[in-house]
Amino acid sequence: MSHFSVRFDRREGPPEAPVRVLAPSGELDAHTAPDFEAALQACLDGGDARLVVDGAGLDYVSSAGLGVFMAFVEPARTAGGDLKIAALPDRVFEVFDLLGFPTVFDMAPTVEAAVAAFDAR
Amino acid sequence: MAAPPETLWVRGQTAELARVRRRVSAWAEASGLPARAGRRIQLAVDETVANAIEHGLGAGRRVVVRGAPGRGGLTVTVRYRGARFDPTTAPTAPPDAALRARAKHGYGLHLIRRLVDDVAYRWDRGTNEVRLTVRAAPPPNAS
Repeated sequence: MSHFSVRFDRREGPPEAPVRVLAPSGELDAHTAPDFEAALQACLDGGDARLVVDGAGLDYVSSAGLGVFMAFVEPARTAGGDLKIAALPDRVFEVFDLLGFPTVFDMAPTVEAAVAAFDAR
Repeated sequence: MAAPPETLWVRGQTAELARVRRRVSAWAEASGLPARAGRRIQLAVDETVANAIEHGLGAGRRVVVRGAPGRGGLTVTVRYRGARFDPTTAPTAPPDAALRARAKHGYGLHLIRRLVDDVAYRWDRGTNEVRLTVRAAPPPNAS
């Protein structure tokens, strides 16, 4: 079985405009992508559209995981927020980069930088 | 270094993908592949087996994954009976168009085609066979 979990109970940034931080951990593949999708959907359903994925705990991503990121970026932006990606390990970033995902997503070296980027626009 | 070929029988469930990746990683190590090349073939095999499980595999059937670690690199062959599907020619939007359209699917085929040094497909009397190869050293003209 793939080891995967996702925490999404953390909020950063100013209290009047918080940023929800999701921290997936483990291997994001065709088996675990639905769990990640459910977490992102729960955030949107709860009214949080300012989202940062803290990728530091990700060991692996396949196209199924990339598809989940892609599914939520426009809904987040339409709702006035964004889906930013932070702190990806090099070996995981390689996969995003190979397909050109950095042209669509705001990718930051740290969660702090990603959170700060919401208010820098 | 090299190791004898090994065959994995994979049930038609995505929960099997992690086990497949572990074996591919061990084969890559036995082939003496650099870590990055090992990750490339691991992901290409994952995408190929996931495609089979999610789209093409006949009910109750298994995917047969065979690794042949060699001195010059690693070849992994994925075979399954089911709907005919050639990942080397299947139509898919170019990555930039898919990105602009915010497409949720279709990236796996690009990964399969880009990650390995060679990908070959054969249709043999109802069985799909995809052969993926990564070489230990790049060909002389590669960048």
